[in-house]
Amino acid sequence: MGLSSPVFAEDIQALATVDRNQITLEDSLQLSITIQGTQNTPPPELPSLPDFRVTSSGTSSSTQIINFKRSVSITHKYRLTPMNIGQFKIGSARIRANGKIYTTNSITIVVQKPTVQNLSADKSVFVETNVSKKTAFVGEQLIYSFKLFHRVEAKNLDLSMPFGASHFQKEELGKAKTYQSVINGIQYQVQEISVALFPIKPGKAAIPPAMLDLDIYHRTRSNRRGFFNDPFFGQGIRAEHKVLRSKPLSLEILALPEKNKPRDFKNIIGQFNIQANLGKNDLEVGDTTTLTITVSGKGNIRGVIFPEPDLNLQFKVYPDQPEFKQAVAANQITGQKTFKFALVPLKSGTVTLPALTLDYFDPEAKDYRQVKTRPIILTVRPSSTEETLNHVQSNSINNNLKKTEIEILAEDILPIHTQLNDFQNVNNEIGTSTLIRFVFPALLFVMAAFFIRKQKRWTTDVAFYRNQKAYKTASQRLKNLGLSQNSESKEFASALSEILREYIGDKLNMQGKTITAAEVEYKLKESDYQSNVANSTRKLLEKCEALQYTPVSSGNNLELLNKSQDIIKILEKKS
Amino acid sequence: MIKKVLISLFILLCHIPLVHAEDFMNEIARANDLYASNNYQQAADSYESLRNRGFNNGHMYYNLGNAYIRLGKTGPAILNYIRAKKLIPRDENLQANLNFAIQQTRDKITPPPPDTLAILFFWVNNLSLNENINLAFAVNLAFWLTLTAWFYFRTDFLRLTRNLIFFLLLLAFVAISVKLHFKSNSKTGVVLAKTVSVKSGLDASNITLFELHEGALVNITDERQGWVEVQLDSKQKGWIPKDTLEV
Repeated sequence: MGLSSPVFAEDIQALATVDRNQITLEDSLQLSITIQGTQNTPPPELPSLPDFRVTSSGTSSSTQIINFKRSVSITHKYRLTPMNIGQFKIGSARIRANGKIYTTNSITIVVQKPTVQNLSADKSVFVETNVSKKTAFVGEQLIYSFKLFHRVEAKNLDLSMPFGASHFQKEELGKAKTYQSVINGIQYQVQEISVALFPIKPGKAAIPPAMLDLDIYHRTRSNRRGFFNDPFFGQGIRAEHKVLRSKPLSLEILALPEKNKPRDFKNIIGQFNIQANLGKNDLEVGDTTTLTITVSGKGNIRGVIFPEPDLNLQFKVYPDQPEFKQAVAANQITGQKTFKFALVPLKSGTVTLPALTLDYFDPEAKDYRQVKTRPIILTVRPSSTEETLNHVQSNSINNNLKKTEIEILAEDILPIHTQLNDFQNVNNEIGTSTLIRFVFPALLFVMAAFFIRKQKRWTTDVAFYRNQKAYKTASQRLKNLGLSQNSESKEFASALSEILREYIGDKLNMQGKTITAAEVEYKLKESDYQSNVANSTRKLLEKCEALQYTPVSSGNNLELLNKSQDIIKILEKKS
Repeated sequence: MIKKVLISLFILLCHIPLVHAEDFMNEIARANDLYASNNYQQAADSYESLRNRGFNNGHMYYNLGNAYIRLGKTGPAILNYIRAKKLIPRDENLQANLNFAIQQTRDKITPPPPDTLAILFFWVNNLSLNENINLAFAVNLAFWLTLTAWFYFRTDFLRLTRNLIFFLLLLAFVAISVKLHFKSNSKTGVVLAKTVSVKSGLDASNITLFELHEGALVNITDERQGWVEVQLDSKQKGWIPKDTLEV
């Protein structure tokens, strides 16, 4: 068993294992991706595996509690069926869990041809395909059969039976048949499924190999005699998964011969008969009868078409939808197509409906054939009613109104998408990012609302405006004062006092210039400033006032300036 | 330092999906080329491999459906067209090919008609889940922008617009809920077996009520012991093994 090294990240680990790393083209292997530590992960993203056909075999999860410690894991299983022989590397699978990506290590697989020994020994089950003819004409019906021969029990059959859609059209031939067959004295159970193929173009054509996935059950006999020493209880059943491929088939498709080819030949190939019947042979003008044309036989009868018969304006003709019935007999598609036309005579007299012909190519005779109906004679009497039909007008209106119907020759699917820009991986889950996308505009709104409200208050609330601007104004003025030339004059103290009082006035929404130091202390305390801050402010203001009348030194000025800045900062923090 | 770490993390986060996306694109281009050169089985295998690796795209399912049609497998083709319809519901080519595939089946069962909820929320099934979410996101953004504008200007016009967009936002959220409801409750299965006998009970020995064939669309109403109860209409109902169809 191949085992890759696990990749650890916290308590989550990803592990890739295979049940075997040496297989033949007839086998398949199981790749298991186990994620331990969580069960809540999206499916792993497998690496590119062009040399294998990958099918999911489901998932299993496990939860264990050992010594009160809970451990969980989930295993994603895949069946890998090799398409070629050689040595291949299964690259790293990616697993997304908890917003992280975990990868597994790569595993090397060796795929070999089924050995000769294997082939001869394993004749308990084999497949073959055949086609009824190796050389056929375009449009000729071929029978393509797939047969499974088995001597052991076979179950869970999954057949892929490509038929070369670019060279053939396919028709189902019903259910699979089961019968017994003896080959070289050995009896086999045979399951056969057949389809009808119709070549669509001349040249060499190939039918690719059919591929059958199946489980076979071998009965094994144990050496040990079991219960009651009875050989019955010594038996066991061993299941084995197999992939069987048939050989490709090549055919030569011939074009239809040009010799004797009828004009307007409609590519009808097979063997056909034609019949025509009329509902009533004796009727009045304006009365209705039905002309029924029936084509039957084997071949591509579905493609037979009959245009509206040209009856020289003697009848109004109303075509009905053709009816088609198909049957499968002795692996051949046979069928019957019925065309109905309602005829309304416009003139009285004896009328002969001409014979209708159908040209087809008979592949067995390798020549063109024609079948025809017998002419039908009918008698049309004058109308017994008073009312006369306005034949000319009626017919012309009918002709004018009649829509040109487009003849559908075949139907097919519309082409694939090739614009690579359209192929973006779509995440169809609603995750955290989706919720964030919805919540984000709401958060932006809350921020915008906060600023809008602040701006509105700014323009309408004077006290708020002064409060908000106070610190910036005072700081700027103190800075300018510090840089000014009259820092040694008495005006310095006066200016400093004014700045402080105006700052406090702005903060408390009062006239700052006229306020005294004692009033400042009182108002600050009233506005819930701490008493020591109020006290310091009063002392600073008193000092400024005292200095206005006494000589000062530059050292005192600088100290006062710093102290003022400190006081403003403290007051600003408390506000 | 923190800025450098954040930038590196951002580049790493952006880079990983790009590298992976390039992988997917190469594989898609390869599968499309295989289809164009008539290697339908290999093209289908390549698309299936992408799907198994977690790649999810409506156009990829559509192409896979086409490959199966070419291989004559109508069941898987219909299954993948229906998967594609969930992601690209308005694609006309997809609808045409789905109709074509249904016509190729023996039972010719068309998807069930829309119920009352689907008629009431008629636009929900014409949009994929992601498109529904994106629509709701756009309305959500418009609502918060209008609310912000109204908060600033307070005009009657903005108040009316705000209320109208709020109503649309509620409708968009309800539409997402309806879509999720359809996603979790709508259990349409496609029969993949060539022929399956619909039994009256959970055992092969029960009476066969009727037969379904590959590509038949059924409504799954119950699931027990490896069997699913399928319903075609109020009369035709019965049990089939779970492994004969895929949801």
